[in-house]
Parts: sequence; C-alpha cells; structure tokens
Amino acid sequence: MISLLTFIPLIAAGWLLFIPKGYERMARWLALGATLIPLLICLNLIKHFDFSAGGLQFVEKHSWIPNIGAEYFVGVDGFNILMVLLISILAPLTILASWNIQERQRTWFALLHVEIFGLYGAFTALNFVHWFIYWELVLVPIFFLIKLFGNEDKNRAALSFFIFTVLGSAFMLVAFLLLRVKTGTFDFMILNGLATSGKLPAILGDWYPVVFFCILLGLWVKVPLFPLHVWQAPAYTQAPSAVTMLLTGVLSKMGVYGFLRLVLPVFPEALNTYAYPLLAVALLTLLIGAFAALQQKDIKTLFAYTSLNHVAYCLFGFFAVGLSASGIAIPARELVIQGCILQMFAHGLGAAGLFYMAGILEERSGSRRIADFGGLGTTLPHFTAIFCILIFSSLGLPFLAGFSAEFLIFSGVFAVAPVFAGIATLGLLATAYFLLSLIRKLFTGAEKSPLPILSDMSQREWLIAIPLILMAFWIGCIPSQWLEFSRQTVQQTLTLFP
Amino acid sequence: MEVLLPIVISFIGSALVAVTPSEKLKTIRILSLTTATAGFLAVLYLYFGYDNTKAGFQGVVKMDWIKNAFNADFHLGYDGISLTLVLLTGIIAVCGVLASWNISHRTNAFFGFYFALIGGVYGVFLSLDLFLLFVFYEIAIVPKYFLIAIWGSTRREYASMQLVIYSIVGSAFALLGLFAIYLGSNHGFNIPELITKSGLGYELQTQIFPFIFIGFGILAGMFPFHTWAPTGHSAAPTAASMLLAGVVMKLGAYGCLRVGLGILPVGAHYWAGCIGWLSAFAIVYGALIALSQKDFKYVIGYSSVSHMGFVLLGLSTLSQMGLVGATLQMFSHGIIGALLFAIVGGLIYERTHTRNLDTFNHLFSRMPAIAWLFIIAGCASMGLPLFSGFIAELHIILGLWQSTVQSVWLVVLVGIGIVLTFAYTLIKIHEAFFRKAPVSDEHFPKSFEPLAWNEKALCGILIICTLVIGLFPFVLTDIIETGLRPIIKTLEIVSR
Amino acid sequence: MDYIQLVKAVLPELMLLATAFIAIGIDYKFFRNQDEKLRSRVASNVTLYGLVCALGTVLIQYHLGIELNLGNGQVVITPLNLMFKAVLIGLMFPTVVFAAREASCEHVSEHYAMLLLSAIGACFLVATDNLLIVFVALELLSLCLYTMTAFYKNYKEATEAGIKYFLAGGVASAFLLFGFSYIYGATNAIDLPTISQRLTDPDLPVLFVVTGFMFILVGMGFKMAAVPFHLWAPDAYTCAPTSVTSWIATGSKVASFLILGKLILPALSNRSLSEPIIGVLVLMSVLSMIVGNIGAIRQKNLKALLAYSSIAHSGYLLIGVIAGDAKGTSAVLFYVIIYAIANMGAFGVIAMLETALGRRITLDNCAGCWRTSPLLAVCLLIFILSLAGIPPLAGFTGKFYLFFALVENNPIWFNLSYALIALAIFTSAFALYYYLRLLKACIVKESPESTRALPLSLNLLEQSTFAALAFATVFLGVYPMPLMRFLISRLTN
Repeated sequence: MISLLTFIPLIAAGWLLFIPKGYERMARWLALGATLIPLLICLNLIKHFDFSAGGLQFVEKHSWIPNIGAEYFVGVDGFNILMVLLISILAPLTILASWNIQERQRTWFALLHVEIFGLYGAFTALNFVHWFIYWELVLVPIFFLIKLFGNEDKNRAALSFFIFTVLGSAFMLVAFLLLRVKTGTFDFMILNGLATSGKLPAILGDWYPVVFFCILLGLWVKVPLFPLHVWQAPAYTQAPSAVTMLLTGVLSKMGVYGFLRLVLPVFPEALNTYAYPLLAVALLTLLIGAFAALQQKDIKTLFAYTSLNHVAYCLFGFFAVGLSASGIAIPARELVIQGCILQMFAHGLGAAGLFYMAGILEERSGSRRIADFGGLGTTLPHFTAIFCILIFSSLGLPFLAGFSAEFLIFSGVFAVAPVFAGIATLGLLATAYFLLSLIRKLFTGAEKSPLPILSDMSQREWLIAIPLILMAFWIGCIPSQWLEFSRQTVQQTLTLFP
Repeated sequence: MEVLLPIVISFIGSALVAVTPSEKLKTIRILSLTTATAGFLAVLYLYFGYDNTKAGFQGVVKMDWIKNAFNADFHLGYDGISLTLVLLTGIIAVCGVLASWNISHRTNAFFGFYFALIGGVYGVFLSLDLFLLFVFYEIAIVPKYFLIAIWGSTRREYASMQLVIYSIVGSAFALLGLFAIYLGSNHGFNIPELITKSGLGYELQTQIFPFIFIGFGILAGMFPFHTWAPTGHSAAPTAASMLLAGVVMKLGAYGCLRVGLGILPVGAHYWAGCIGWLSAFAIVYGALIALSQKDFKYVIGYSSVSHMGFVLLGLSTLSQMGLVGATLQMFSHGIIGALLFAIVGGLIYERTHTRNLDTFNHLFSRMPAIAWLFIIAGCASMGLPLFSGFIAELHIILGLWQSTVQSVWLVVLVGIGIVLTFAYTLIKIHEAFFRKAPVSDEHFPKSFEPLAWNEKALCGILIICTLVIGLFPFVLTDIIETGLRPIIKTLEIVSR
Repeated sequence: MDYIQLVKAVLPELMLLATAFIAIGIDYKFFRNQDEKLRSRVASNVTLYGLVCALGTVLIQYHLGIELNLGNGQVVITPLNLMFKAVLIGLMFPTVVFAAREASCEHVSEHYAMLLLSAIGACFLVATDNLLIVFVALELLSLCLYTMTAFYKNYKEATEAGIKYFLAGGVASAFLLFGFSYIYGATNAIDLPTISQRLTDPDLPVLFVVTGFMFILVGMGFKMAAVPFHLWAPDAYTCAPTSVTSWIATGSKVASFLILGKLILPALSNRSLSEPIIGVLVLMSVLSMIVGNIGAIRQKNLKALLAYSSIAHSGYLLIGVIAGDAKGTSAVLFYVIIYAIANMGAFGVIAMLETALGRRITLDNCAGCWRTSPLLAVCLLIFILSLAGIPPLAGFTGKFYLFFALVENNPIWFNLSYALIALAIFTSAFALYYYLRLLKACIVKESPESTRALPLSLNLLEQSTFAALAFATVFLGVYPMPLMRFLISRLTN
C-alpha cells in the first residue's frame, strides 16, 4: 500500500510531461487527482493502523542490490505515520495553491509530483540506500522549481540551497558507508537492533563519534540548525509560495525525522554524552530564529525565520532526551519526543498555511514588504481572520495546534534542564512580539495608498484555508488523539535510555 | 564462434561503408545503423547466452596464430567484465551513428573509420591473448586520429595529433610490459593462464607494473597524463567524442584491470597506494578545472577526467567492492559521458554554433527540451541516486573504506570531489541555460530547431540505460562479480 | 665446373640479362626513330615479360627443390636464396611499372636495362657464399644505382646526388673489400661456411678479425644507410627518379641485410668477437633510430621524409642483427621484406602523384590527394601505417618480432637490451607523428580549389600492382605464420 502511495505521484509526473500542448488545463485536474488518491490511501492506512503496536506496520521488503546490502524496504510506525499524513494533506493543497499558474504548467506540476513522490519515499524508506535516493531526489525538483519559477534572486537561492544540502548529504553518505563497512548492513531496523543490544559502540570502536558526527552534520544542514541555516531564508523567500509550503511544511521535517529515525534509536549513548552542547545549539538556533525575525521587512523572510525558530523547538525537545531524567515525577523523555513529533505535524500544517497566506498577499499586491501594507483588516476581513488564526496557532495560543506541541516540549525540557527552558522562553516572547506586531502593521492602521484594491478570499483559497484551520483547532483541542499515533513507538524506543 | 560476431560485423560494416560512394548518403546511413545495431544484437546474444553460474571465460575461441617466432594465439572469449564493456560499446555504437546522422562530408570514410574503431574496441574487450589484445588496442588508435582530424572542430589537427601521440606512447609503455610478462612467465600471452598462475616474481612484477599501468592508464585519462582528454574530446566530432568518452577511455581502464591487476597482483599491491592518491587527486583536480572552464565541451572533458579518476580509484582499492564499482563506473560513465557529449557537442553546438558559455543567453527559454535533457544528464553525472553513477560511486567508496591498502584520507578527498562535482554541474547548468549572457549578442536567435528523431532516440536510449542500471544494478553487478572472481582470488592470496 | 648445372642455377639471371639486351636494343635498333612514348611502352613491356619469365623460373626452381653449390660456394642455390631472389625480382616488377610512368631521359630503354642489371646484381648477391662474388655482385648492383640516381641529366641536384652517392658508395666498397681481405687473412678462406668454421678456432687472431668486421660494418653501413654513414641517402632518394628511389630503398636494402646477416651471424656466435661487434652495432642502431626519426620530422619533401624513415628503419633492422641468433636473423629478414613491400608501395604512390603534381611532392602540394585518387589514398594509408608499425598491418608484426627476438635472446646485459628496445619502441611511437603528418597532408586536407589536380587515372596494371602490394602488407600482418616458419626453419638448418 505504501508503494502505491509513493509511486502514484511519479506516474502522474510522467503522464503530465506527455500531455499534449493545448491541454494544459487538463494537467491541473490530473495533478489534483494524483494527489487525492494518495490522500485516500493514507486515510486507509490510518484506518488500519494498529495503535497498540510500536513496531513497523505495512512493511514491504524486497531484495534489491544484494552485494551492497540495498533493499527495497518501506514501512510506517509512530515516527512517520503522521508525516505521511502531513504530506498527503499538503500535497493537494499545494496543487490548489498553484491552480492559476500561467506558464509551463506541465513542467510545474510534473516537478511538484516528483517532489511529492520523493517526500513520500523519504519518510517511508527504511534501508539507507533506498532512503538516500529519496533524500537526494527531493532536492532536485525543489532546485528547479526555485530556479524556474522563483522570485528575483532565485538563482543564488537555488544554488546555495542545493550546495548546502548536498554537502550535508555527502557527510551522511560517508557515515553510512562507514556503518556499512563496520556492521555490514544498511538496514535502519538492524542498526536499531544492534544499538538495543548495546553492540554498536563496540563494533564501531574509534569510529563511533565520527559516524555520529557525520550523521549529525548531514541532518544539521537539513533541519537546519545554526550555523548551517543560512541557505534557508533565501530559499524560502525566493521560492514560489506553493513550493515554500512544501519546503517548510515537509522538507524541513525531513531533518527532524532523520533525528528520530537515525539518531534516537541508534546512538543513544552519543545523545547522552553530547546532550548539553546539542541542546545549546538548538537553543541558539531558536533564539537566532526569533530575534532575526524581529528585524525582517519581508513577510516571507520573516516567516522563514519563524519557521527556523519553530523547527528548532522540535530539536530543543529532542536533544533534551539525552539528559538524565531520574528522580523526576513526569516522564520527561516521552514528553519531549512526543512533543517533538506533534510539533513537526502541527508546524508543518501551520507554517504551510502562513506561507500560503503570504503568497496570496504577494500575488495580489506584487509586494512582500511589510511596510507596503496597512489597514488590510477593513478591506480583507476574511483574509485577516484566517491569517490571524494561523498566526495565533504559530505563536502558541491555547486550543490551537502550536500550543499543545510546545507545551509538551517545554514541560519536558523544564523538568530536566530548567535553565535552558528558561532561556528558551525568551524566544517564545520574541515570537509573540513580532508576530503580533506583524498583525498590527498589516491589518490595522491606515490603508497604504499606492496599493491597488485587493479582493478577498476566493472559493479556491477558502478550500485551502479551511482544512488547515480545522486541523489547527483539532490538534489544539484534542492533542491526545494525535499523540496516540506515536506513543507506543516512542515508549519502545525510549527503553534504550536508562 | 559467436564471440567473433561483434568484431566481424563491425569490420565488414566498416569495409562495406567505405566502398559505398559518398553520394549515396541514405544507403550509407542505413548501412551504418544496421551494422551498429547488428553488432549490438550480437552482444546482447552473448549477454543472454552467458552462464553466470560459471566463473572464468566463456564462448572461448582459440586458434593457432603465430607459432614459431613467439607464441600468440587467436584467442577470444568473454567473462562478466568484458561483457559489461562490450554491452557498453554496442550501445554507444548505435547512439554514435544516430548522433552523426547528418554528417555529409566524406560520409563513407567517416563511418568506415568509425566502425574500424568500434571493431578494434570490441576486439580489445574480447581478446584473451595479450598480443591480440594489443593488436586491437592499437587498431583503435589510428581511426581516432582521422575521425578528429577530418571531421573535428576547434584545433582539430593539434588535438588529434596530441591524442594519437599520447595513445601510442601509452601503448609503447604497455608493449615493454608485455615483453617482460612474456619472458618472465612461461605461459606466453595466454591471459587466463597468466591470471591464474602467472609465476612472475615479486621484483619483476613491481618493476613491470608501472609500465603496464601507465601504458593503459594514459588512455584512461590517468592523472597526470590526462591532458589529451579535454582537448581531444573538445575537438572531436560528436560521435567521436561520444566514443572517446564512452568507450575508448574504458579501453585503458580495462587494460589496467585485466593486465595490471589480473596478471600483476603483486605489483598492483605494491603500487596501489600511489595510484589511489593520484586518482583521488584527479577527481578533485578534474572537478576544479571543470569549474573554471568557459568552453562547454571542456567542462565535460574535465568532468570525464574526474569521473575516470573514480574508475582508477576503484581499481586501486584492490577490494571486491571497489573493483565491482570501478567496472560499473566504467559502464556508467560510458553512458553518461556519451550522453553529455551528445547533448553539448551535438544538440547544442549544432544549433548555437558556439560552445562559449559566455555567449549563451538564457538558453532555457530558447531550447527547453534540450535544457531538460542536459539537466537530467547533469543529475546523472553528479551521481544523484536513481542514476547509475550513484550506484557505481557508492561501490567505489565502500570499497575504499574496506580496502586494506588505501588511506582513509582518500575518502575525504573523494568527498570534496563529489561536492565540487555538484558545484560545477549546477553552475554550468546555470551559466548555460539560466543566465543572461555576459557577452550579449543581439543576433542570438529567439528559438532553435526542435529535436529531430535521431536526437530523441539517442538521448532516450542513453537516459534509459543509466536509469535501468541505477535502479536494477544487478543486471550488471551479478556478471561483473562472477567475472572478477579469479582476479579477486589472486589479489586475496597476494594480500596475505 | 659443370656448365649445365651452372645454367640451371643462374637461368633466371640469364633471362634478365637477355631481357636487358633486348631492352637496350629497342632504343638503339628496333624502334630507333620512333616516338619516345612508344619506345617506353614497348621497353617496359619487354622488361615486364622478362621479369615474369625470370620469376617463373625461380619459382619452378624452388618447386623442384633444387639445391646446388657450385664452385665452392660461388653460386649457391638453396630455398632461402631462391625465395630472396623471388622477392627481389618481385620487387623489381613494381619498380618497372612505376618507371613506365616517368620519362626519365630520352633513351628510355637504358633505364630499364639498368634496372635489370641491378636486379641481376642483387640476385647474384643473395645467391652466393663467396666473399668475392659478394663484392662483385654488390658493385654491379651499386654501380647501376649510382648511374640511375643521376638520370635526370638536366637537373643539377640529381647529378650532385649521383656523385655523392657514387663517392660514398665507392669508399664503402673500399672498406668492404679491405674488411674482406682481413677476414681472408685471418681465416684463409673466402667462402662463408669455411670462414664461420674457422671463426670458432681458439687461436684466432681476434683483434685482426674484429678489425676486419669493423671495416665490413662500415662498408655495409654505407649500403644500408645506417647512421653515421647515411649522408648520401636523403639526397639520392630525393633526386633520383622515383622508381629508382623505390628500388634503392627496397631491393638494395633487402639484399644488403641478407648479406649482412650472413656475414655477421658467424662472428656473433663467438663470444670474444661478438662483444665489440655488438657494441658497434648497438651504436649504429641507436644513432640510426634517433637521427632518422628526428631528421624525418623536419622534412617537407615526401621523398626526403621517407629517406629519413628508411634510415630509422635500418636502425630497427639492426636490432634483429644484434640479437645474433637464427631467430633474430629471421626477424630481420621477415621485417626487411615487409618494409620493402610497404616502402615500395609508398614510393609508388609518390611516383603516381608526380605525374599529376610535378616532380617535387611536398606535404603542402599533395593536399586533397584523397579526392584525386581514393585508391591511392587508401593504399598510401596502408603502406604508411605499416611503416609506422600499426597493427594489423605487417609492419607491426615485423617490428614486434624484431624487438621480441632481441629481448628473448638477450645478448647484451639484461637491462641494456630492454633499454634498446625501449628506445626503439618510443622512437617508433614518435615516428607516428611524421607519418601522420604525411597522411594528414594526403588524406585529411582539402586541396585548395586553384591547384586541384585532375583526377588521376591508373591503368589496370598499376591498379593491380598497388592492390597486390597492399594486400601483401595486410596479409603478412594478419597471417605471418607461413613466412616466419619458412625463415626460421631455413635459418636453423
């Protein structure tokens, strides 16, 4: 079932390329259809998902390149089921968001579909070679989507995006080749097994820290964490908004997912050893994200830094897992990991929504400068309402998605590292400050004269906004339902930590 | 006897085409395409007839040839390694004909030389006698000269002469090595026997090995003897540069593998470290130079040097994984290199009549289909997953980690090389297709001719090949492993 | 002496002699006042018929298995000698065909008679074991060559070249004779079997014999055009009529190397003699390879280029002589035949081009030759690549065999032998440079519109001559075994 889910977008991409000229209108319906089917399949997956089992489900495993130990191996568990759902929700929304694209429709939709294909694969593949193919593949369509359809500084943004992420991948590759040489396997599950039985550090010997840091570096770029985050803001800003939705919604989660899949179950010792420095990096990143956002004049860049800040929360929680939690009444480790997973999901939806709104604004007015806007509240009331809900969700207002996730993370971290948590609240404050002031600048005050009269939300835009809003409320009000997906897996994995 | 088929078909085709009057263009083209296809089908027949459960050479043909003066047999046969490379040759031969479909100047001579070259290449890969191998190796040299000198472009006379002199000097080195091998062992020129029981002493092997390796390595674009490659590639007509990058450079690598590693395992062991460093350096150096080139074909030429560095690096690991990777990389680079040259030298140059990247003015909007083809080829060349290059390079790096003779620091160099490869590929894609020309030319046409059927077919074939190997590498790795078994065995004995 | 036996032995030479007289008679008697073209045609045809008869006779002799030794080794008929006679007469055949193309002087038939006389000299040369006959035959051969070199009477440089060649050749003959006298003095014999027997004598005056051989080497060095005795060669090759050049470069060389082999081989089997002789031979060989190849690079005139290439080839051939055993000698003979065929073909192509382009064929004015005559271009490609030693052509197999024979027998200190081979291999690799330049001029370049020569049409005889030479070059490369086996088996007996 997972294979079907993964390959439908690829087939659709091939098909889209061969749609004859003059039938471009058909292309977008085809594109939409090809994202809705995976959504249905994904819902079906969830329907059959066994919440009580922590292990892999819906596994497909075939031998592929035996002599280097590559296999076709896919499956879902608590770590990735929500991410698959996230992709299948966002995919149709991105298609809808680019409904009115004017030129090179076929290329656009085909690239989007290749990207979606790669994302499905990257979140479900469980053998390194197989996974790495997707891990690299997702870069290519994004590169060209930015390069072909991006804004004024697209070339530089695309290149730096690509080079940074490939650099990360190179380290990742090196690490896994080492792992393969030492352990003889590329299989994530077997590596997990080795870690569980405690053999891995012995097998790797002196290479243990090398492998760990190479993997760390590979993920570091992807998330991204300070100081390798410099590619992020230009890429997010220059990409067309539908692409940014995918970038921030899903692509930035690949790094976090990588931590959950490759680091948490395989390198518990290293996480213990390096907990404080790593935590400090995450803290630094989230503060830098928040304070950099304060300075921004461009809406999309501002959101890019917000995103940096929010994804850093995930890792802030994640790295706290290595700290000793003995003598504390609450299960701090479970809280932070659960929070991390929920934050991934919630932020994926929320940030995609924010960028979409920014995209609408840009499309209507042709500007992204905050200073160009003002008093939109009166001219665009619906737009304003949706925008504000998403912003509130993002800054962590109770009953909205952001709150439940961040609450879990903070309560967990506070239990084990109160000082860090305390400093991190500065970031929360800053976020709240600049998001609210953004609202103030955009929607209140006097209308700026040079702007043309903007129209309010169209039906299509409502169609995109409503699911996002609903999800924000759902996660915010009933988080336990969502936490249930990952609880078993998280608890099982955490047995690695004494 | 079926092993003779590809060779015989090519040479007969060469003769037939050469005697066809050059006015009969259509006849010549169809004849050439038929010859190439027939050769390829013969190779496929070999491939499907190959029994992968048996190690050693199959379909062996052995006849007395030169007996009294020195012993050389007419001895042909194939194993997994040869099969991989003849398969490559077959594919490139067909694509090369497609790429040179529009040649109208002395067409008969062009295809005559072309098929003589192809025949020689088939011969080298299928020979099991060192003397015969050497004969075919040299047969492949001269046609290159004429292909470049008559139908080439910039600086063709200089480049062709340089290429030939490099090749012939290389073969002179190899020849000296051959003499020593013959006289040092009592198995004559018989390759299978030399591999399994050469009986060459330590001192002799360590002395001969550099001769053999440099001799063949020159044609493989081995650093620092690579300088012929970029000039030669750039000057050559499309089909010839496809052949050069696609198969001729592999002749050298094949020689290094079969003769260098196979017959002189002790020598290989002794020199492996040195070769490893040179090749790793070549990877980085090739990529760096490619980064700074303005001539599009030179970019691809230096990228070939860089990629062939991977092949030699794989060989120098002396490990199973590395050797499989090297052989796979030969195939992979053969396909990808040919594709890149076909696009740059054929598709783009024939339309723009310039290869200077500074004059390319946002070509993406003017020739989107070609731009996409190049982008795909570029992705393949970067070694992105899904394409054959990834699998090959993965094998090589794994082999490098496993290798007992190579320094770990090489991996770092290789890593730098890979990143540089990404960098120059992307930058050149940008410069070629997405940039406003720094040297603006008012007369640059708005749009160009669309792709012709032969161009579509040629790119299609090559892209499919690299994808197929990228996704189902076992198609080749299985037979390569079987083929490598005897070589690995001797290497293992030596390393103990 | 039994005269019947003698006639039986020298019948081919007698036929050639008769033909020479008839040929002269054409100018001076039968067609005295006729048109020059007609005389030339008749004379050449008569010569060809004579050659065919002689060749036929040689082949019949070979077929009958005649082995004769008359007058104490003065005339020796063995299969090997017969084969070389056949080769020489066979080489004379294309020479005459090419000569028919060019009008070298007003008395055309003299040209043919001279050619035939030199062929007779060559035939006697290969079919004797007697030092005096060797000398006489060599002189007959050489004198004809001197004369023919200067055949262009109105052409000052030709006269100069002829004189040069004559003087150098005369000095060489003197040295040779001097050397022979030393050998005679030391061994008290003038026939080779006895000499080789005496050379193994323990109380041989070594210094005396070595001196004799040195003189012989100097003399033969002139004949073979080996450095440093090569200075006459470029001039003579360039200024002689091309057909004559082709004969100088091939026929006389084949005969010289055969005789050199016969003379030197016995000396090399004696350790105390061999070292100084090999030393000199190595020196000559090295110098010839270097000077010949470097000299050739500078040449623009095709004939001069081939002259230097021929000097270089003398160097390669000497390598086989140095090997000093039956295998080495068989390699020399094998290669010299191959070399002669390819060189004959190459000069033939030049002779043909001269009729279209004038007397000086340079790298510049032969451009576009592939358009004027595709057949010639293809043949030239084959001949030149064979000279360059590119497989599968005969030149490669021959050179490989030469080098192989040396390293296998390895008469000098191990690595030195390899070093000599290395030098030979690398110089022949660099030689490809000028050979390719030649081919580039003829095959790659377009002729400029203004100087485009008329299409060159060859008659059937010429076409088949070229085809036969080209075929031989390819055939001996692809399937060298019969000839090699023949040579080795004959030489080891």
